[in-house]
Amino acid sequence: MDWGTLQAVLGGVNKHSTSIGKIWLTVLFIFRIMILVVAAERVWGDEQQDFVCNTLQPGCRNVCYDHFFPISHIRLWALQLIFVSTPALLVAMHVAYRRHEKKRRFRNGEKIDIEELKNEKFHIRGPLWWTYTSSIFFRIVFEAVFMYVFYYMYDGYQMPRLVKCDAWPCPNTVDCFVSRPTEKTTFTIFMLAVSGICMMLNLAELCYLVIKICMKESRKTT
Amino acid sequence: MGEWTFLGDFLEKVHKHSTVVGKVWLTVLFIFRMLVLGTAAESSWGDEQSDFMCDTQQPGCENVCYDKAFPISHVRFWVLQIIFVSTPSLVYMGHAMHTVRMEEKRKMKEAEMEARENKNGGDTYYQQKCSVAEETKLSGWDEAGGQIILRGSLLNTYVYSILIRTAMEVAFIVGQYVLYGIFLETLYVCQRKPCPHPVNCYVSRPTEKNVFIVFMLAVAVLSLFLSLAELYHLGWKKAKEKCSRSYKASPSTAPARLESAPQAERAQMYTPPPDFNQCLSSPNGKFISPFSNKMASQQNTANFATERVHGQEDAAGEGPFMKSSYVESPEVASECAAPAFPENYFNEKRRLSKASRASSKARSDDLSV
Repeated sequence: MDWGTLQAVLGGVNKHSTSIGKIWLTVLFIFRIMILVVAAERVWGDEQQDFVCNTLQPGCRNVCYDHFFPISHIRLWALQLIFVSTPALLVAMHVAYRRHEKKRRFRNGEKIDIEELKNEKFHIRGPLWWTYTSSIFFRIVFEAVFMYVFYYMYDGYQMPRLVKCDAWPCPNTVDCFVSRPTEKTTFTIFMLAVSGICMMLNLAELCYLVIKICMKESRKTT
Repeated sequence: MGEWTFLGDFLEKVHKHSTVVGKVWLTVLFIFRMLVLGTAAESSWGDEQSDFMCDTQQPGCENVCYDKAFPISHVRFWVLQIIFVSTPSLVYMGHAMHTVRMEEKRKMKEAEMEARENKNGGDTYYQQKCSVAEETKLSGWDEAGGQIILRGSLLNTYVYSILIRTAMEVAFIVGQYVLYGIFLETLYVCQRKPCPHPVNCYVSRPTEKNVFIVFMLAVAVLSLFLSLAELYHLGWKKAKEKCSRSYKASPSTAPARLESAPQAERAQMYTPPPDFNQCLSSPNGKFISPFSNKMASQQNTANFATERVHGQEDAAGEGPFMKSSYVESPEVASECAAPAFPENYFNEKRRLSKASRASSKARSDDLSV
């Protein structure tokens, strides 16, 4: 999976983020994407191959695997990371729109420094504040939704060692054994903990932005 | 190795702003840990489960026995180790970047004020320049070189990051020993449901794995050693600086203060030495720690107390006074810095008051760093 493209896009947004936003991005790349690519994909790599059922009935193993793992953890995490990163694209689009506006004004004859335009850092104020805040809000929502989906789909966050399966064509209730359950549980809990940390960072950033704007407003009125 | 680029890019930035030992540590991390893990160790552990054979036909027995033998694979353990050991450096980097940003903001403000002053008149320009120079020293940013100098809170962050890194390294080494011991055995005897009885299981490529285990352990110990060397290097430099500063400022300082300076917490290395004389001589009282005021008042109280006590025994001369004080309070003699000094020595050195001579012993609770 090519995460480099995502890094390129989010790197651009990083310039216009708050400090907490920058920390969030670092945590995202190092503790989530990197762990997913370097470690977790190897752990789940042989999950169907080494999913063993105590039966000789052809097809029973396939059906049981499909029944207990409708969507693999790895793919769910990849989806979660994509959804959680997407709101930042809203901010990138808004910044690009502002730059485009400035370029248009330059073409219409206003004096603007081209170099400054390229490297300009937009402060989080006005409409950009609304875009940025809503992107953080959506990030928090997506994180929470995915954490719940994990919990609901797999009945908690622990990978069972043994699952009992009686889906057709298995002739009776058959014991099936999951591959590497302890290691999978370790990584599931790790990824859950990091999701929690990311959510806390997003909440902190949201509070920071709201408090800042309230203080500014109160200073203006007094 | 391409998958490590996320971490690699961040650590490249850290590399620029580290000490020499820090740079060596980062190079060891990149080459001996990340590269070896990514290229060699991964392929060695690639077939660890598929070639983990158990002497049984019981379905599921191999799975559960592999899970029991390797709760977390060595390779994943090392990946987590590398990430957790690198994390403190990232925190330091964040602080350094924050310092850089604050510096840039300050420069922008300075430029703005300069422009404003040039319009109005250049009165306050030089004053600002001086305060700016002071702030630069405190912030630890060298304008000329463009390099971050480890000073003040940045130095503290750096030291904390090394301490945490060392703790993580030790934790992971101990963790690896607890989980697996040092060497992997070829044979693993497993008894776990649904295996019907104790079953012989054979690990895939044990010798090759042992080579890599020993190698990664050795590199971890080397990294630990480098971290400790860096701490020592920073601590020794700071202690030397502090000693020479406090020695220059007050030659009559009790030796106990100089002795306890190197023993002071490394994290508080930068706290100015709580020296009463330095407090008096320094023009900028605001930079002195509050400890020195406390010591000054303690010294004063002691002086007043001894003056009251000894006030009535009018010393016939300085000689008998000295003798009597030693006799009356023997613990003074043991704690006193120089009981072996000739009598005349004190007479020459300190002429402040008779009482102060008696209270000039080195008290162990003088230094409260």
